[in-house]
Amino acid sequence: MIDVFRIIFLRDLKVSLRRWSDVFISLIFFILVCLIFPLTAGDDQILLLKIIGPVMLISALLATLLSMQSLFKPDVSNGSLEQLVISSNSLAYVVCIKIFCFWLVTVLPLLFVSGFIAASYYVDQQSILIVILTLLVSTPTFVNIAALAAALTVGVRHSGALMALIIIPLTLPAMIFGSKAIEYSILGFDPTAPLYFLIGMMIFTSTLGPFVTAAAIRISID
Amino acid sequence: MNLRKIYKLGSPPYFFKLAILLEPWFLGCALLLISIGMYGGLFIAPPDYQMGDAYRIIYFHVPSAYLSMMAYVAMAMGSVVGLVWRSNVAFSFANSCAPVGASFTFLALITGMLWGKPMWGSAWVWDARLTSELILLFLYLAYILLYLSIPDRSKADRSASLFAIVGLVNIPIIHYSVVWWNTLHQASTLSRLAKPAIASEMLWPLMIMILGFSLFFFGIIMRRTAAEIMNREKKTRWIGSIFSEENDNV
Amino acid sequence: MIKHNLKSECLELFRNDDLIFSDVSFDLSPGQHLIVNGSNGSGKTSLLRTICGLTVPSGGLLYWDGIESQTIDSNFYSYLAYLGHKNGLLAELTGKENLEYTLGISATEKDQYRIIEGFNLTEFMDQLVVKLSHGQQRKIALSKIVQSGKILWILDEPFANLDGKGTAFLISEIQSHLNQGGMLISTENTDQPIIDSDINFNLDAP
Repeated sequence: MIDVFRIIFLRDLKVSLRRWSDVFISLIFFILVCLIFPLTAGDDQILLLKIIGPVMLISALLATLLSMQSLFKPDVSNGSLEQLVISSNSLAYVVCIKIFCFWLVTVLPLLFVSGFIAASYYVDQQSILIVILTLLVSTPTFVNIAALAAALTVGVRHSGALMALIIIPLTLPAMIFGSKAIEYSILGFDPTAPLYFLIGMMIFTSTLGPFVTAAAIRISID
Repeated sequence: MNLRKIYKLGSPPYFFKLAILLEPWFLGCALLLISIGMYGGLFIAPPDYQMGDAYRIIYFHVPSAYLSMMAYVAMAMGSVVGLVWRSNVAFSFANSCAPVGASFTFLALITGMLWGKPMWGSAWVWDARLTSELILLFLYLAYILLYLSIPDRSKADRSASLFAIVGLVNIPIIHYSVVWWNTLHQASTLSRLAKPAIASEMLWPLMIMILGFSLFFFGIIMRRTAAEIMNREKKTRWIGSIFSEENDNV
Repeated sequence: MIKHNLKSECLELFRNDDLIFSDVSFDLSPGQHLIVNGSNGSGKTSLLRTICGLTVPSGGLLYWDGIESQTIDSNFYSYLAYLGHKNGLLAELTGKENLEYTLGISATEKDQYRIIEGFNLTEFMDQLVVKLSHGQQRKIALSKIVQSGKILWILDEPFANLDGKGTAFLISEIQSHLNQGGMLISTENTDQPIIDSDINFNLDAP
């Protein structure tokens, strides 16, 4: 099992780092979307503090959606996903490793940048940590659901819009709780309750997600 | 429980003949019940002391909302049967439920908006139950679009069914949204254990309308499933023999 | 030594109401070679993918060592190496890295070196796969199969895109694989198979 982890993880890591332009694009996209709001809405501190939660979460979701298309599509077109399906290893485990690697490479940079963006939205220091923490625990949910959507729409043209239609209804609870957590923290209340919900959803989707995604891959590869 | 009979349902000719047979009964009873319910709801039931006559849209709104959720559960059950037993009948059933369920959801949202304007002053509020019902509409649309965008039919069936099962998590959220979040939409009128918080002259037309709508739903589903089975089995002999029989009779 | 066995019963595949193939039954023992013949579009690739389990058949069963290959008790996939039309190589990695990060390579270092030499790939292994020609990429994919040490090889048009030396080397590797008790299922486009077969299926036959 450790061998499988090592091989798949290092392989995906190397491939992602060589496709570093994809990673960079999603990071730039995230920053741009977050910056559009204060640029267009004007310098209204109260307004910005109100919308920082939803803006951060939506931008993270869109950035994930954007780069998720390159998780399975290239592997299907070069045949390596087929080889993984018919190897004797558990496909769910392999998918879990791939999703984890994707999260590390694509989402972790977003977390670094989010602190600075939150500061530009006039968020106080304590709440900046909560913003980063909220993104940390809600992004695994986004990534797992986006992986499922990517696996379901692998052969489809214009899969981006269809993926968005699949992802948004399923991630809405996570987004609602995430923005609640950030809102509570900014207002000075205790954000632990929504954070617990987010952690629960993260555990639920991270454990069950790979199995469902593996089933979806098997169907799409047919 | 006669398991044999249940397995027979998976055979397309058997299900087809059963569906064509049952459909007029379902629709006829539905018509009867809906007429009774409408008469009772619009004429017999007294006006509400708070809302006056405006509340009577409940006789369309509540059954539509109830059906929208039931249709999704039926679709998910059909999906499970289809995935586990690879049954064409089950996939046809699930596919038929999708547009009908979407229509009921749309109806529930529209009637809700028509009711909301006089009652709350605004047609739409971003409250938990309305939002989750809107999400349900998007789930139906995603199912339909996912099915339509995959060219291979067997793959499309299975992918859409997998999605339907995953989306099932939204149904408890809709149902319990009025319990978990204290927002604008009123609490459940009907609950299994508690005494209903509604007068009995207003209650029975509501129950009849719900029953009528359910029978209407099943009638429509029977017809749609039969049509879908006909489409899938168009090259088989038994479909050909049904049509040649009809030609002989004509 | 267990004597492995691959048996199929009446495999059948429909796609969107069209019949692709039906009534495919065979019994393959170690050392045997099965060739699937047929013109383009007759369903050879679909049949191979069905045997691998990538495509779910509309009817029929496949048994490996007496157990249905798609059930959880079966260890079919520990013995299977498949090469389809796509090479299964990651374009952003070098040839060497592709082989390094492959699960299930059991050949010794000496053997790996010999196989790479035989396919004339030694100088090219440090280049990114995307820079190599189609034939070279195909050779890398073939060397993955040859090094895998799996008993059952399923190869879809293995000799396509290969030059003369590559073809000769592949033939010798396949012969030694069959001699050591391996099994091979391959497809051929022509009437004159390059390697003799023990079982022959022609999907064009009505």
